[in-house]
Amino acid sequence: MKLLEALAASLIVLILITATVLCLNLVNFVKTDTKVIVSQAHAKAHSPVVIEVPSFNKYDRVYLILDASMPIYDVAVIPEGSLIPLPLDVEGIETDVRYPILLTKHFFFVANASGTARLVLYMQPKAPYAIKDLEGRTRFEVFSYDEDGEEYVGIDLEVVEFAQNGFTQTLLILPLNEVIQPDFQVRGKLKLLQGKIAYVNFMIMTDVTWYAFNIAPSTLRPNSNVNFNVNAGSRELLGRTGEFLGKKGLFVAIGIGLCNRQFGVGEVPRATLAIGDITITNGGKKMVMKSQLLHEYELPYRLYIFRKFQPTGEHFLLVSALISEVLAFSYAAIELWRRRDEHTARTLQCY
Amino acid sequence: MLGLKSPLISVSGSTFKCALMLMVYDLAIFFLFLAVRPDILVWLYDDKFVIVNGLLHYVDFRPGYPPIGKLPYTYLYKAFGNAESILLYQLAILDLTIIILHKLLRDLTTRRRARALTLIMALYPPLIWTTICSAHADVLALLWLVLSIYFVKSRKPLAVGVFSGLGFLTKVYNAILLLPAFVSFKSHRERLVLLSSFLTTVLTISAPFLALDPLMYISVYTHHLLRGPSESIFALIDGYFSHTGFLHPTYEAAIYAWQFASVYAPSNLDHFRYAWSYPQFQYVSLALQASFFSALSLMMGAYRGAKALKVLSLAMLSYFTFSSLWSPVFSIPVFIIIMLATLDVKAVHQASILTTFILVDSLHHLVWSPWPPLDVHMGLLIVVVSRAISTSLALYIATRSGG
Repeated sequence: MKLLEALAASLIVLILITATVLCLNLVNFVKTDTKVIVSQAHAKAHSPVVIEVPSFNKYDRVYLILDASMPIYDVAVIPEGSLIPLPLDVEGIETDVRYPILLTKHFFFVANASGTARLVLYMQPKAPYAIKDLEGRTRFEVFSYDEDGEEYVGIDLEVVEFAQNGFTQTLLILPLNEVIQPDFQVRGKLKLLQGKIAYVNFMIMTDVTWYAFNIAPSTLRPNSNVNFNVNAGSRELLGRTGEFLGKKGLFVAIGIGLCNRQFGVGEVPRATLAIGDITITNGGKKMVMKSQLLHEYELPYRLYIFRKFQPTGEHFLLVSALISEVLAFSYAAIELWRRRDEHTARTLQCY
Repeated sequence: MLGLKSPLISVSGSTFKCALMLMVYDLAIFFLFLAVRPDILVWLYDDKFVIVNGLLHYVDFRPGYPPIGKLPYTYLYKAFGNAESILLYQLAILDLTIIILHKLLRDLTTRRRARALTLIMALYPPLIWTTICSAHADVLALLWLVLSIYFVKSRKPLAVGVFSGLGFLTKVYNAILLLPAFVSFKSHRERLVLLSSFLTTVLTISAPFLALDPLMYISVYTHHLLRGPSESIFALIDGYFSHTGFLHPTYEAAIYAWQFASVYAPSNLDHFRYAWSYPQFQYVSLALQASFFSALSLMMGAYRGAKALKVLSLAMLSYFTFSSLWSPVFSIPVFIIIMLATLDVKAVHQASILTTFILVDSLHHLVWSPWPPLDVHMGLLIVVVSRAISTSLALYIATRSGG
């Protein structure tokens, strides 16, 4: 009994020492496990922008975050294969239109080998909106469009993949971040230049849900203009009117929908639209989103290099020691308890 | 001979009857599943991501649940890739939970009441919903909870330690049972066995993950500390009306919790990097949880048997009631706790309390259904207020009757 008690006590001391050494090693690693580079590059439309990734170890994570209004054709890694990209997925859906990632663009890589690398970004002209797919996948190109001295942002959408419901929906998102007041009103103009659309909706995203208002139907013919005005009296797709009033409006967006049923076999599913200035009135304030494209602009970015723990021989030894010590301690504790029980039973029998 | 034989026959007869009832119950649930055809696999998006990209849970990626709560689903998904295998797994666990619960209730109350309460639990809508519509470890966590309570009652410290350890490795809340259990065992040696068996269970099962990447493994637990309130009175006062979830790119779970925290500025819209509008609420919630839970746990020492179990249930209830984080599946352990806390009140009173909870908890599920009967704001407000009233009422009746 006495020996077991001494063993248990010494095991407690050993467990504490091993756990402390293990924790100190881990704390030392954590102290330097994140490197953040916040910088900006000068971008020219249709020219590559190079972002240097300083030294990393195998399995480290490299995470590049850009403003979502930065229109990127493609991202390449040099040397090829040194960083493996992980695909975008948000709770099983390949879209990033939920808060807080709605207004950012993300590129996540796992280092395939230790070293350095360069990320090469191929850029488009910069639009005033964040352009993102809500349903399906499209390839888009933005361009300037003038008509009668008025400037528009042209967007050419080509479907890469329809969603399961047969639609794609591309959002042109503008931040709002205001409580929606009774005088809330959004006015704007758009034009279908060519192709076919299933719909164009105007959307309001509050902190809980979306409200969508149809502003252009599927029957819209090329070269037709649409002037829209969405306000508290507008009826949205689910028949609700003004339900968004008093709620926190995070974003507003124009949602352009294309449907596979509208396109014949061999026909390229695409549509080209032009979006004019958008005026938002809320709480007596008026904001005008000018439809202008920038061909040269600054590209701010955040680059994270997250170190990944790699176990060493010392680490394996410490973990094995800790587990063995806990197992031995558990054995001693159970033995002590069992013997005491037997002792009590024997004492009771004597009486 | 006959005197010996008849109890045997009666025992096997009742076992046979129970098995038959369970079979009918399982078939009914299975047919309900076939009728509803819920998309269970949608919950396993992270498993799909991990499998497709050749990552390893707890080494390259931190899922939302500890290993026993997550890995069975991952392997079932990898091996069969269908919803039926998940349902059968959950059904098997549900059956075990019902059997153990019935055994526990049989020891605490009359045979008739135990049977009625087990039936109520088996037909409790959120439990059925969780079994057929969700692929999370809530039913398994419930099994460990019921087993741990059963062994606290049977005064078996080794079993309590092992099952709370397994519970902790399934869903973290199971570990809180350790404190009242620790108090309820009087001798130091029993307490030592309780703690060492808990630690041994947790560490031996966690050993491979601790060896390969302890930081990723620790992140599985610590990332929950970043989470904001949800669907509780604290959440609603703070202005957060949304659901709990990880609305971030899934690959962000391939970095440690603190690395994830460095990417985002806290916001009162981002559930996983939450900034409280009224930061004092999180401390109020924590203080209420800690003070009631510890006070009631310490009281365990003064009671034995059914009374001790009632105090244990009240301690657990205080932990859940004052939690700032709630989700519809939290109702399931709470329902059992309410059941155990009101065992000594009149049957009719207990039935009314449980009915109230069934209604409130079912409404809570409906608030998040595809066609909610109420707007989310109004629905959650009604649910949270009704639950607070029902809990107060249950506490009043339980403490008045039980002394």
